[in-house]
Amino acid sequence: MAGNKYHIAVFALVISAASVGAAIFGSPSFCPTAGQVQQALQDLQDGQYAQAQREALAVTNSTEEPNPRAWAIVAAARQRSKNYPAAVAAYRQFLCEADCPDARQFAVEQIQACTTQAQALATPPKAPSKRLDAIALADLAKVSNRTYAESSEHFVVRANNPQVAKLVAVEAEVALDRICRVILAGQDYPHSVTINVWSDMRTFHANATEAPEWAGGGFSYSSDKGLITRRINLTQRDAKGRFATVMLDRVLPHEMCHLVLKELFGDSQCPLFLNEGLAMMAESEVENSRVRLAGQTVAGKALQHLETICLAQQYNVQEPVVFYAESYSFVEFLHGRLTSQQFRDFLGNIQQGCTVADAVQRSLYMPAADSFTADLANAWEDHAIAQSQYLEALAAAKTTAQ
Amino acid sequence: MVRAALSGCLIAALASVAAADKLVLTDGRVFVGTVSVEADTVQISVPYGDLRFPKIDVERIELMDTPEQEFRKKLADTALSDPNALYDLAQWAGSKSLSRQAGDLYGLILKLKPDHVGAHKALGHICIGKSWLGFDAALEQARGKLEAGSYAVLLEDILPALRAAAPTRQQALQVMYLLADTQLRSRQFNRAEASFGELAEAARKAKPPATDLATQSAMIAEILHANPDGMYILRDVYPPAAPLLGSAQAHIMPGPASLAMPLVLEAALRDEAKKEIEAGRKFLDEAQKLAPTDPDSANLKYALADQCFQRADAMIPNIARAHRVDIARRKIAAMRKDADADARDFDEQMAKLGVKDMAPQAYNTMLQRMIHHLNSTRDDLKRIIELAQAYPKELVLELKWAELDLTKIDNMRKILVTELDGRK
Repeated sequence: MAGNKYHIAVFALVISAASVGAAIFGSPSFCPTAGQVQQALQDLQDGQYAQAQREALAVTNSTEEPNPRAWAIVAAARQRSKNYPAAVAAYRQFLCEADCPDARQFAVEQIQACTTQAQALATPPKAPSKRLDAIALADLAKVSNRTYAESSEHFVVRANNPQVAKLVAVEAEVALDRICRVILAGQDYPHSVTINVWSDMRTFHANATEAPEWAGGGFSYSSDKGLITRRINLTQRDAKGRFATVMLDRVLPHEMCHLVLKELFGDSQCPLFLNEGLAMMAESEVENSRVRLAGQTVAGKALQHLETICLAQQYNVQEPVVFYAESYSFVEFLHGRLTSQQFRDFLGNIQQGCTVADAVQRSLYMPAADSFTADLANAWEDHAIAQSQYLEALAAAKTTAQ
Repeated sequence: MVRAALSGCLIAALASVAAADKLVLTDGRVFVGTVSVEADTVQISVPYGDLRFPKIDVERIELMDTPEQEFRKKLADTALSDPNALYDLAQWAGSKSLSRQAGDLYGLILKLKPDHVGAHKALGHICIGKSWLGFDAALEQARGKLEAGSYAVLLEDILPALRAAAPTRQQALQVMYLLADTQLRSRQFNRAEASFGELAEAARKAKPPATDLATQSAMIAEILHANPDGMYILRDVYPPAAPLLGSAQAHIMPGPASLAMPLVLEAALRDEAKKEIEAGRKFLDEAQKLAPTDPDSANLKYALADQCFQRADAMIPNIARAHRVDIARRKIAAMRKDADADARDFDEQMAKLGVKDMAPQAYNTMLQRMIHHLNSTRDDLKRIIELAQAYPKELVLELKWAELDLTKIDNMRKILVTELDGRK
């Protein structure tokens, strides 16, 4: 039996090898507009977008031998000159003429990219608590003896304040969407989660036994006889009895990200730096102090080397504040520099047990290089310092203006 | 001076000159070599050995000049200061398979007349600009001209000369690649497609076959066939690490670009390699699922995956190395499992020894069984070492463990074999 399988496999290999060989036997193809297309590509490469567009349009409209592929040049020229709506129109022209699946996929991606780029400046991210006025905050700080429940697509929220339950249910969906779609690059989360909002720290710790003493929130994931329970525990009010906006802006998305990652990684261990870095990224607003600290430590003597960060475990973290700042900085750097697909592949590779350098190189489909870890560390350190310096400069300018 | 130089270089050749005799046998066979007559036999030394015939079988022996002797005579009659006369003699020597003497003469001619075209050509030199270069130097010069964009001179003069002068098949393939690449960079896409196709065929038929070159060239021909206008659409930045590492090196943005640019061609090859890796990874996943229940089918899937990764590596060297290491690692894990099972069986047998009384025959049988288990484990470990040695850096632990275990097994086996032999 095994012998038969072997022969089948050998036959399959021979056939596949023959098919590669057969592909080259056809007569060479010839394109009469190749010269004009090449000229347009040269102009595009040289940054002569208007000229490239004109030449490529002439090829698409040629009466003798129209070349619809040249719409890709028109579209790219418009996109690079930031004329996104016109670029989308050209990509659509290209899409309807493209016969290769890769080219069609490219056109679809670029249409999405142009649409995103056009909207990018219009909607800066904003923390949910910034939308609340003093009256709303006062209402949200009230606690009743009754427990109110509110449900949404993925969440069942329980709180001692109906407005809190409603608000948390809405913001939980927003945070989950951001985590799955933006941060984890298209991850699905078809599960239901219970969120308990405890009125204060005392009741929180009495009920959320898994949370560390200093924490104001936590998550739990347990399985009993096939029944999986996903739970997030939060605190409604701070020590002064005010509504804890930090719960809404940071703790909720942070803990939710841990929960999603727990589910995504399954039995595999998600490295601590990645787990915490992504959870910090999930928070509604960037905490500038972290960015500044990461840059300062990287530039100074307190730097924890990239390899140390990547291998850190909960029990051996040195200088937790620095570790968290640098983890955030590195993960944000990776997330920002890789495409969505590459980042998704990176997470998959980490899940399968690759080292960070190997996971990145595999996700980039590049040959492994010995110097890659050092190059990556250098690039991240440069990024961390630049980000920190930018914030310092901004703060200085603000002080001067005041 | 000239005579001294010539005599110096030809002495070795002439010293070994021997008479070339023709031995004609009564049955009509003819041998050419050095004849020596003995008591009842005649011996002839031919290039492939010594032959001995009874005198009665010999019809006649003809003493003749060897080509070397003839060459010596001709050389004595040639004016050594006349390059053209030396050239004629060198050509004659070449026609008589006296290539070393011919080469010495061509060298001498070039000392007398450094621009002697015939001598240069005979030595396989190629004229680039105003200088004559040996093949390897000329090939390097041609590569430099390609980088400098001197396509016309390459296509019209240098590459045809290189192709004609290529001394070996492998070097001819290098010239063919250079030609196809030059055509591509000079935007002659249909010619480049044909040249890469021819190169793929030639590489496949070469002995030994240049498989990687054949795969890569065939793929380039396919890419050109699919993009006859020379426009390729990049879906990602290339090189892919450029956005991440912020390297200052040149990179190509996603979008349409010309295949005449080497980076764009590399990107196109990488896209194809990526498809092969994705296909290989699917086989790898299937193999992983099959491995616990059907190891034979899993091995076939591994073989298919390896084929995909090899093709990817042929297009972009080492792009799939990490995945090939994965295959080796998984195979090693499976072998380890087998070896561990054998080790457990061995331990069970070992535990029985000395616990109860045994008849000598039963004791011997048990020893044999234990040696059998050790042999099986040893075979597994040897296969692990063989696999891991291909990736010594990545599989250093697997390699070291297997080597250590193998030493232990060998020592244990030695003890058992000695015990068994002692009892026989």
